[in-house]
Amino acid sequence: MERIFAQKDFNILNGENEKSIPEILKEMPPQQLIKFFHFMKKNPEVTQKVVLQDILKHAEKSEFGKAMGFSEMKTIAEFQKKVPISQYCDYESSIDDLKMGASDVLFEGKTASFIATSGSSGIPKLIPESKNGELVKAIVSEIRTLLLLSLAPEILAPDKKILAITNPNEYDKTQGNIPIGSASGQAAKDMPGEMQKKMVLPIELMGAKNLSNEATDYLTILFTLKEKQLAAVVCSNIAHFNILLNKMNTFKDDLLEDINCGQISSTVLIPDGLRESLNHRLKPDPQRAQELREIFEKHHQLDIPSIWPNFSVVSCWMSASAQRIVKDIKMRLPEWVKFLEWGYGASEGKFNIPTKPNDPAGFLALFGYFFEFLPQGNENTLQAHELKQGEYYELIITSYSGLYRYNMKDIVYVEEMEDQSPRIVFISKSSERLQLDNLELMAYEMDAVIQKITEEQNEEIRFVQMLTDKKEKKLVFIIELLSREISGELFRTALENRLRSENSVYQENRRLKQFAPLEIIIMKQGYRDSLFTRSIMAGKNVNQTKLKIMVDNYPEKENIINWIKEENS
Amino acid sequence: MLDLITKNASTEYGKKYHFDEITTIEEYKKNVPFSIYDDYASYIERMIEGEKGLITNDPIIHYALTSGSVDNPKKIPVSADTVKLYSEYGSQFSFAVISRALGKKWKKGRGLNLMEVKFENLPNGLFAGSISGRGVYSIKNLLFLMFTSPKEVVFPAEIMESKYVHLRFALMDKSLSFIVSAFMTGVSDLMKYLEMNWEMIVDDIEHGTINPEIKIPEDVRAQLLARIKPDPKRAAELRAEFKKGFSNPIIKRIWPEFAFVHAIGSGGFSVYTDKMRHYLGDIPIYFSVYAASESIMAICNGMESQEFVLIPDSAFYEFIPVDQDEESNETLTLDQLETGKDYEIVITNTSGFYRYRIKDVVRVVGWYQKCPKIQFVYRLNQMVSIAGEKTTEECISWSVREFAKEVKCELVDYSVYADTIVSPGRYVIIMETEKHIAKDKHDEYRKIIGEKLNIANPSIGSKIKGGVLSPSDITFVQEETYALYRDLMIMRGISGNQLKPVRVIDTLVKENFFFALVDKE
Amino acid sequence: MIKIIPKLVYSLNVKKGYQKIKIFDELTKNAPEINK
Repeated sequence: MERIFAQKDFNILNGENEKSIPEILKEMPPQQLIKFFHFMKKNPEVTQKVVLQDILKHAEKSEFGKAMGFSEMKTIAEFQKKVPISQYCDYESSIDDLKMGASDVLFEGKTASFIATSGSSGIPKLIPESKNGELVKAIVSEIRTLLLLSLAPEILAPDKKILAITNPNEYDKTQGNIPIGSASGQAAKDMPGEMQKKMVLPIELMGAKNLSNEATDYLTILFTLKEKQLAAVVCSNIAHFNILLNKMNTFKDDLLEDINCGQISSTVLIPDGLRESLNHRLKPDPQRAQELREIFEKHHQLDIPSIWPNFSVVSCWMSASAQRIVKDIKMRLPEWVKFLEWGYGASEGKFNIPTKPNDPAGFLALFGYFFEFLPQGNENTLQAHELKQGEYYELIITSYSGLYRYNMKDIVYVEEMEDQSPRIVFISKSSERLQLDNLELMAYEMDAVIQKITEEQNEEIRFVQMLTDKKEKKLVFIIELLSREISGELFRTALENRLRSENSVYQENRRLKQFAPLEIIIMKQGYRDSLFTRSIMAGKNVNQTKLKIMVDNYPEKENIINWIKEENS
Repeated sequence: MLDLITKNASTEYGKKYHFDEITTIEEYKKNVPFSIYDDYASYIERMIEGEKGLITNDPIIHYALTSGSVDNPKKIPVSADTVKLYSEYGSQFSFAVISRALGKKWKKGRGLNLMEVKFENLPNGLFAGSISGRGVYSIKNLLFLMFTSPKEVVFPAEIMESKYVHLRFALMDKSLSFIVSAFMTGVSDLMKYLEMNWEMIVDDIEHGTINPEIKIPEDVRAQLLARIKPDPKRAAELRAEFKKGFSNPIIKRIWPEFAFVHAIGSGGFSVYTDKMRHYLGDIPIYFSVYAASESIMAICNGMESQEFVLIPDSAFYEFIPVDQDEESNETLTLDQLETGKDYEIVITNTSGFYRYRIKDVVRVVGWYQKCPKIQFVYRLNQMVSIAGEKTTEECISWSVREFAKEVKCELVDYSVYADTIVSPGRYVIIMETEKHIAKDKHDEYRKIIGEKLNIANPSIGSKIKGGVLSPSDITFVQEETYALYRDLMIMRGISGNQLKPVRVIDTLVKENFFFALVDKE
Repeated sequence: MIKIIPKLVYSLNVKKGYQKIKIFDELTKNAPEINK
């Protein structure tokens, strides 16, 4: 492996080390880590080359590594030639072995843990994590946190508090006695001590298991409402916070009473031990209760800038379908609240590192994964430094945790290239597409058309789902509006015309009357939130729930306000 | 500039001078007269009551109070644009210049910021206060991260002994990286205070106390005490260094990571800069900006440079050669200037002032690409002229320094007094020196200062010869007089950010003060 | 870890400052025109 750099600080990229790259990075003091991050950005090609070599080095003695001949691979091209692009099913049998506790299967050593992911069919998939893989995630978290804090340093002021809505770290074990957790449960573990003091929620609540969602929500709002110095909210799926705000107004009386007396309302079902320790934390605060009452009297609601005067930062997912949710919640928060992207990732890894406020795009974690990008309709992959601004790609990763040229089936978009490094944002899953006969339209392309129309018509959409009716051969859009009533027919016509002008296949099919005109179904207010509540899987909460954009069934009639079809049909 | 005129054609002022008809600079100069503060005073009164569109269509977001006269300071409107420029140049640009010059020497730890925020509320909902205060206010959520001084002294509700508090908290942080202040006087006063009071401060640090003699409001004292813990280790470190004395530059010894000072310290402030060298050793100074409330005019683009590069987009500048005839209205634009010559500067800004004479004279000392580098030389209305001989601040400054060199004394500060009680009038130099000066040599001193003044301004010499002026005199004031004057002004409510050195004794207040403190021995 | 945040904030500020220096340098190249 050639010696690439002379720089003292970055000997790790010289490739002649005992330790793996994640091990070296984990030992770096924070300032050096950030410097390294900037350095890596400027040298993407070389960083990726070295990372791939490192990944292969730490897998060459595994079953997979031996079968593929990792130890002989000297170039990226060789790797790409020998190893095919893969998906989950290709790993199933290896993962079964790993579950039983086997080692040196996909990578050297044992599995450190598994991440459970819901998968599209609802059956949980388990993704293995090696020690190195866990380190990579921890390092990405650390860099993300440091950058986030430097974008919003005011939250570090001694008295300011942060509401972090985390997911319980599930403790389950495989037959081989290897722990199973959730992707975001790990993030809470990695939090530095000084930050823990700033949390609004007591640690017992953050780690509580077997608590119903209703109870957790009530307790979360209780502690948050009590805390006047709330400065930031960290919640990956910000729809959850939205729902909490709704509940806050609904349960206002109980909450105020509880704050006043320093107790928890008996209607909330909590195990006794937990109730006791939480009560301990809740000192009676009649002053705060009075203050809140006065605010309610003045504004006829719990006005957010009044109850939390220093609330100025939100960190959550902002890309893909979360974009609309963010737009929605922005309407009820003060305009000075900064939104910082939490970061694009999945059970398979944490991939990007956001660096700008109000921008979901981020730089790739080039030190932790070998990335390849598949342009749509193409066979050959590109590397990070070869990408072009404004293009869409399917993401393929090779990780320290045994995934080799694994197609994430995620579509990412390159917002810009800075110093040869791409700033990417997650757009949608590649399975999210409209397919009707010979029409193939990506969900994000359709979404862009809808976006244009809403801007022209000066409407705002809270939520949209897309349905292809294969029987009646038509496209149907299920929409919840932000507030005003749409002039339905105008919108439908505008959307139809736009789609016809932008997509020749659709135009042809409509012209030949192969397709019926598209339809719009307007749903009641609160539809999206009700979907969240209904879709929560056992043991999970809203924060962990993603709503499907592509649906197969029509919604229930009770929730429909208006069904707009073409006038003459 | 022409954009500015078009944008403001609809204002009352714009209509008065037919901005809509102006398409060239010549037309501008012809149609729009020179102006001074009084020409805008009545508009400003109305703006403060809430009226808009009188002199500018740009949003005015702040009013700067100038230290005009104590009883009725002028309120200068400041546009959002100007505030933005101040913040970009004052913080981002200047710190980048410093970072570029110092590299790794600046470890980016916290600094000591002496600028305070003292605002008055105005009827139109805006604040009036110093521009530097405005700058600090705009980052108030980040102050705790970047600077050591607690908010009680940055946003003072009452007058208190702020030097103590600033020093106390700065000394507790061993990794203090720099000091930033509006003027060098603030920094040098602080160091003087440290020199005189270190024992008390170190004792307090050791025990976690605040000496009862220190004048702070009770509630502030309590809040500060709640945040202070005893630090005997740091106290011992400090004591060891202070005991060694102040003859070796002290700053590096008590703050090993200290990298620079950022303050206005050239021109009239140079005596204070000289003093600071004594404490700083070879630690560099960044001389910041040449600015007024009306506009930020020029900035240093190098460490230790005292040559300020004009900022081309901060305002439209015209220059009047000083040797030009009084009657002539000719002005030059910046490309027509000559190196080495002096000019009065005339400003047209985004805050509603057009061809405004701020009465400053600058000298072009070089060029940065196509932009002139300037230095402030003197204020026109701080010229002394008893019989038409027009003596500038520069002359006085030079004379005083030459005097100090020849007499071998250390200069603390100085002013000039136009004595017209005697007839014919004469120049009296008021001076404070580091060490007490022997009085038996007074005649000799009088002669020397007279000589120096005559060289600096030959017109004085000839007028004395011609009997129109009496021979010049020099008077020495007691130690600490100038510092006491500054403290007095602060007690009266003037912000430390705005205190400029007394160069001319031109009011009764100043007369009474300084002459009362003459060293009679 | 939190201790480095002030340094990061300064660094961010300084970065913005460098951009400002670049812009300033461009401006001074054309000072007379810009001023007018």
